[in-house]
Amino acid sequence: MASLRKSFFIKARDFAHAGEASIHIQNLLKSMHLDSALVRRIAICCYEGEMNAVIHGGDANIHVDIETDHLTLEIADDGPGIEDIARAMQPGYSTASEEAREMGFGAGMGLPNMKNNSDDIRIECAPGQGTRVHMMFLYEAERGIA
Amino acid sequence: MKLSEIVRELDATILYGEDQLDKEIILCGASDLMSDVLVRPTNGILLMTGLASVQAVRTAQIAGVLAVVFVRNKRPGAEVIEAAKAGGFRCSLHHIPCSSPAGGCMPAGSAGWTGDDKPVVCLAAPPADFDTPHASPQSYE
Repeated sequence: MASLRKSFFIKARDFAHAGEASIHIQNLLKSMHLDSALVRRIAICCYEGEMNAVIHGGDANIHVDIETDHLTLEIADDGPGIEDIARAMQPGYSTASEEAREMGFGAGMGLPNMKNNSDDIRIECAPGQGTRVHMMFLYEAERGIA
Repeated sequence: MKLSEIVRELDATILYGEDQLDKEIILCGASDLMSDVLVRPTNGILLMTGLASVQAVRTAQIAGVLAVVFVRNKRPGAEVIEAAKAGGFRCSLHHIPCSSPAGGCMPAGSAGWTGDDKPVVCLAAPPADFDTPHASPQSYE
């Protein structure tokens, strides 16, 4: 399988379209017949990252690189950045607005979900300089049932 | 339990995915927190939620939910149905006019989870304060 890159632009606070990119990626990976549990993990990570960008960040770009034995997912936004990454990784911690909470978000599980569903995650950011989340998924990684 | 049986028992209105009614539902879950849905196991699951929104549908699709039932008198608008169609959503959407909390509307014989992490097994019919049901399910184009 030749490597393939797909990129998507995410508009900040565009809740009407939030999640569409992740669904597009999910459908693409399903059409490529990747393992269903793997596709689910990737889709969850992408969706959580996309929603984080829409809710918290500025405009963002999602890049998916599909390789022969792994997939990398990068979500980079030009929003305010994460002040305390360690704290943001704690389940239940959230800085989501009331608007986001009314839509069912803001439970503080976004980054923990991304960490739990990826095989490797790196977060690069500085206050006021945007956030870049880089995740990797191995096709042959052994995991429990999702 | 077949989805068609659940629809009949809940007297639900079918909003989308009428061709999905032969699916086997293994678990029922109730939540209004999107991340909660993404954390839980969702194979063979029916999700009951009071969030009648585009995000609820997209979250359900990402999580692999088989069917969504909108409760607490929250009927989704046309944009929600369109979002399901646009995303190629391979599950069905339903609405019931139930004013009870989602956990009180689980179909008889089902097991599942609620947002407070307690397992739920509903052994009885829907509660007495269930709103007057629709006369019959209706398809929704």
